[in-house]
Order: sequence, then C-alpha cells, then structure tokens
Amino acid sequence: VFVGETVRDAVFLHNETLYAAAQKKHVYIYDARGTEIHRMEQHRDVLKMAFLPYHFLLGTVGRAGYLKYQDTSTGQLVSEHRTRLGPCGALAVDPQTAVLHAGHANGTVTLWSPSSSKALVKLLCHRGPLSDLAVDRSGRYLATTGADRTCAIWDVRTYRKLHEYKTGRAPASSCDLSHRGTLALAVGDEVTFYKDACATHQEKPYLRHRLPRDTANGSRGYAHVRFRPYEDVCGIGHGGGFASVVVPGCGEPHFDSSEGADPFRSVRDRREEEVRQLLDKLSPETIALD
Amino acid sequence: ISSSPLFVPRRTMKIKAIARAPPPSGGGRAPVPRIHRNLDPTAHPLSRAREYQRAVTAVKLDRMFAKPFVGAMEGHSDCVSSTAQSRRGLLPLVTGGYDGRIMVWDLAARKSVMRIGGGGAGGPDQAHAGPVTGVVVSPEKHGTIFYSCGDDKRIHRWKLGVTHSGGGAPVGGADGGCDPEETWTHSSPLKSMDHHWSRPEFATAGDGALEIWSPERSAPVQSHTPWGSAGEGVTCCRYNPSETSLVGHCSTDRGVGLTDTRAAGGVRKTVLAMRSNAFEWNPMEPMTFTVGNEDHNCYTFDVRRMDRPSMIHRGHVGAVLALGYGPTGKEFATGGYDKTVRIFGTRSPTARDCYHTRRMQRVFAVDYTADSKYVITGSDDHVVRIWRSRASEGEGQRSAREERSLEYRAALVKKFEDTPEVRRISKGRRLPKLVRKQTEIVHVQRKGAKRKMDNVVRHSGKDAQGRPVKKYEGDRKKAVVKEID
Repeated sequence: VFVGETVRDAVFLHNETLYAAAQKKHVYIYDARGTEIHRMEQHRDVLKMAFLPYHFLLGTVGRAGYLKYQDTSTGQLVSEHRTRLGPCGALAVDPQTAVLHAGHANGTVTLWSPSSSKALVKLLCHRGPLSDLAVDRSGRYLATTGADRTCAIWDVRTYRKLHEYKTGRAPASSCDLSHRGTLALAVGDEVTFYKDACATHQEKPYLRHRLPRDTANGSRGYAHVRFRPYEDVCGIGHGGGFASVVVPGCGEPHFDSSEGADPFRSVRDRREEEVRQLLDKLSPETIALD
Repeated sequence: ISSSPLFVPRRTMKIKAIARAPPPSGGGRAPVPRIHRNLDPTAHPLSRAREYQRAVTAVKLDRMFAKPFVGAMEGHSDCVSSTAQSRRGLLPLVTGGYDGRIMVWDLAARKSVMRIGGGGAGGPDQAHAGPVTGVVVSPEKHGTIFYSCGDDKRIHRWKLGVTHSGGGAPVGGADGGCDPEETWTHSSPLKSMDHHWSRPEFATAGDGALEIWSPERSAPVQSHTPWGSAGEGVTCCRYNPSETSLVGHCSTDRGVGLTDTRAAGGVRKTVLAMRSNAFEWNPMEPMTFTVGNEDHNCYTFDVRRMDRPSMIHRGHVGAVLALGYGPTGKEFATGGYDKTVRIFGTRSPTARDCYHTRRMQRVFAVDYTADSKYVITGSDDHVVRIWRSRASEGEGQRSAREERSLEYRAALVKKFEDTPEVRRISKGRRLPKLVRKQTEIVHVQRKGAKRKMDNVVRHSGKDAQGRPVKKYEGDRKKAVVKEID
C-alpha cells in the first residue's frame, strides 16, 4: 500500500487479515487487500506499537510520551497513560502476562497495564536512551539495547541484570529474541545472532550477516530485525529493502493449531478461529504483573 | 547460510533448518484437518485466564438455552390433585382432579386421549362424586388397568386400553370415557392410594387407618392404625419398590412411618415438628425416602436410622405439597404452596433449579417421566404442565460434535463453579417477588438465630473440662420430635 508518508511501525492484529500502520500523524488499520479500514485519530505521532492478542488490545507509544490502549474488537480506547518520560521509542509485550514494556530516553524501562495510570515497575537499564526491547516467549528474559552500545539481558521476574553484550562502536538499532532464545542484534549494517543468549553468556556470536550497501537511499546504519515465529528465519528491514536470513535452530518447530499458529489452516478454519478468539477475549482489567 | 563476504565455506555444508511440507491434498476430497499440539505451557500463554473466560461464556450459554417450559395440557375444570404413570413404561399419564374427573394424556402429542367425567357420550358424569385424591396404574395386564380413589369413599378400577408400551387403543376415546370395571366402598374418605409393585394388592390412606386391599375382596384385607396416637388418619401411602411388603406413610399426627404388611403392626415411626404432605421412596436407593413437609422443607430419611433425617432440603417458601422422584434416583422434584416447582439433588440441601410461571398457581401434583427428562406438574389453575428436568437440554438427537462441546462446557462450569462470577450466573434465577422477598427474610432469620446461638454458647460458661456448658444442636436432630419403634 503506497501511503505517501512515513510509516514508523506496523503490526499485525489478531490474524493476517488486518494490520495496523503507524503513519506520520495517525495510526491506520488496513485489511489484507490494502483497503484502509480505520483511521485512529486519537493516536498521534506514534513511534512504536504492540498488539496483545488475547485481549484484542493495541498498545501505542509516541512522541508525546502517551501510552494508549485501543480495543480493536470494540473500537474503544481503553486507557491512556502519561509516561511523563518524554518520547518513547521502544515497546515490547510480555506474551505470558500481556504487560507492556516501554523503553525511554532516560535509560529506563517501564512496565504498564491498562488498569494502572502509573507504571507497575520502573527499571534503570542503560546509560542513555533505549533503542529497542524484546521479551522472550517464556516471559522470563528481557533484552534491551541502548545508546551506550550495550545489550543487556534481564530477568523479568527478579528485575536483575543477567548478562551484557557489547555491540561494538555503534549502538544496536534493534534487537529481537526468537522462540528458542536466539538473540538478534542489528548494529549499523550488520546483524549479529547469538544462540541461547539468555540462559548463558555467549562469548562468540553464532552468525553475522552484513547487509548490502544500499545505493538507492542515503540512509544507512539502521536495520530492524524480527524473527519469523515458527521458522528458522529472521527478517531484516533495512534502508535498501528487506532481507531474510536463515538462522538454523532459532525457530520453534512445534506449533499449536489451537493458538492460531497453524500455517496450513484453511479460510474456514481461520474464520472459526477468529470467532473463538473473540469469545475467549480477556478483559483488560485482568492484566497484572503476576 | 550467511551471505557475508567474510565467511567463505571450505566445503559445502548441509544446513538443517525447519522445513514444512504442506499437507497432501485429498485428491478431490475435502482435506482432513490435521491438528498439531505443543504441550509446552509457554506455547499457551494466559491459559488459565482464557479457560476462566470460557467457563463464564459456557455458563452464560447454559442460562441462555434454559427454557424449561415445554407445554400445558388443559382439560380439568378444577385443581389437578394427583398424577400416575405406568411404572414400566413411558406412555400414558393419568391425572385426577378435584372436579371428580380423570383424564388420560398422550405426552408426546400433549393431548388428552381419554376423559372420564365431564359429560360426553356415555360414561359417568364424574369419575368420583367429589375430588379424586389418588390415581395409580396397576402393574398387572401390561399397565392397562388403573385405580382411583376419592373423597367420596370409593375406589374404582378402570380399563385404560393403552398398554405401557403404547399398543392398543384407548377405551372410550377422548370423550366420555367408560364405566368403572369394579368399585369398592369404604367407610371414610380416602386421601391417597398406591399399588403393590408386583402383586394384585393396593393400599389406601384414609381418616381412620392405612388399609390394604385385595381386588378379590370387597373389604380391606388388613387395617393398620398409626400407633402411638388414637383417632389420627393417614394422608399418604407408598409401597417400597424393593422391599415390597413395606409401606411408608405420612399421618396427621405429624408422623412419618413404616408398616410391614406381613407383620401385625407398624415397624417404625418418626414424629416431626409439622405434618408431612408427600411421601416418596427413592427408586434407586429404596432404603431412603423423602417427605415433603408443611414447614417448607423436605426431609430425606434412611430407614435404618430414623432418629434424624439424613438430609434437609431447604428452598421452598411455602408448604411442600407434592414430591416426585426421578427414575435415576439422583434427584427429585417438589411442588409447593408457593407456586414453584423445585428440583433437588438427593444429596443436596439446596435446589438445583426452580420453575414458576405467572399462570401456575399452587402445585398439588409433581411427577417425573420415566426417561427422567421431563417433570409433570398439576396445579390449582386446572392445568397439567410439562417441564424439562434439565432446563438447557434441548430435544432431539445431538451430533457428536455438539455432544463433545456440551461436555466440555459442563466440565468448565464445574471447574469454576465456586468463583463468584460463575456462581452468580449459574445460581441466579428470576423468582417471583414474593418468593424472593420471603427467601431473604428466612435468610435473615436463620442468620439471626445462628448469631444468637453463637452468643449463648460463648457466654454460657465452661464446665469442668473447659468446654462450653451450652452446646450446639444439629439441625437434623432438632427436626425430629420423637421416634417410636
């Protein structure tokens, strides 16, 4: 879809037929064909978004430093919280508790739930602004990258720093944790993969991938990494386009059909799944740290 | 493998990465869906919360589908006082009313197939010259015979024509009916009657005594007066399905007793605080019986231990007038003076469900159908009603998928039945204002009585062993005034 303006973030909603794009001014929702479905004017200057699949909540943070929760099934803005920490450029959701982790310019990570107007927890993670955050699937580890050229692994439950990885001369622009615990760090035009980075401190990286030098755009040195959910593949978005890299052993081979992860489901199965998801939709008040 | 120019492989490497092949196409047939499971709990986040949400949805669906009323059958011109069904079959339902009429109904069609009394071609004007107080279908001749007794001191024997398996045609048709095959006359009005489960013998309860009759004799074969009191009558009598010589009865001296027809006198009697109106044996556990009492409670007794009831069933806010056990023996339905029908589990002190309608007045007769799916009620508004015993269970055959879904939902509700939201939805019922108000008052009264007892015990001082002087008295023990052996 050619929108003609900056798109800062994009996230799929409850299935592949709907996705939200944080464009220059507002957040738009498109369907699989590219038709614009909604324009959410209450979300302004959004930098990062995260979707909570079991609550049908879309969380957004932006330049104004407001964290807003939007219910995508009823269309209601559930809550908006003032982070009071300025523009926020990093957001991740803990899949096990549905708590949102936001990374701020003063090096802190704050944990949020829709029912509390103050952050549940504030962690001081880096000396300098955070660039990206990732929570692993089991909800145990939090990976943060900051302008101080380090990537730290934290234990989410005890809020203690477990490991630290140095990213070299430049700070990492993005990080992600795969289902099997592989850490991907995008530093400049190189993406480094550490296997099993959370449980033990890895001395050496598993893989390094250098991105092609783009001649089309002047911008270099920024890449965004995301692992593909049940595949041994990592997708990298960079200045010249999109690259996908095979990282053996990073993906979870066993998916569960009842969680909506079946890649071979038919259209009818997808529709039935959507109805079941809506029936099992959880209330935002139930989101808590424990 | 990495495409970085820094890495140059020495020899070709085989990479093992996840590779998924799409499922084979069925070759024209619809593909069988393959379900993959990952039992790792991290693959199922928030599973407890989701399961709880499903339980709430399940209990809401249950209440949405709860439509217990099936149909009403009109035909009587006064209160319907008694119902009877064949003990061995599903079919005809016989009802007797205060108008002296007896009607036979086809439950499946919800229509009357035979009427005795009320005018029409041939037949008597009334089955009884006064209220019909008891009807019972005899087990002999495949259920084609039934007996009725009334306030006019008479017992009649009638021919049904329809067997309990549905064969045969009703005698006389829907109009008029027929003359009784045989008649017995007694000296005093009769309150209730019951037939032996196998022998040609029936019992009647009346003002003077419990009488045992044989169809061959015109006078009672045996006469049992409820001992321990003189001049008291028997109001309800029931033969035990298993110990077939045992007859249980309720008497006007507030007693609940057992009589053995082989013995000379009574076996046992327990006197309660108020009179009992209905007596029923548990068909599956025949050593227990339940009585419906005037003090709004039902008491379940075990014959081996009659010094206290084994369970007190509370719920009605008016006298319990009628009782009917389900054929599974797991639950029974009661009808009360408070115009409601309640269904209790045998081991449960509170009602599982409560049925009421604006049109239904005092309920005088309650019965279960033999497939345990429906409850029949006869009430003061001259109407015989059919209700579902399980309000959310629909009719007809269910598919396997539906069956599994219902089982899953029932299991979910059971798992979370103690959580406040699920409990509120599953137990909440819309009750008539009077019943609701009265229930609240009773609740306040019992709470107050308990608080008073707590205070009395606490401030009664201590005896030599350091225990309080005044002791709590169990509800069940308090219910019984005396026991006579």
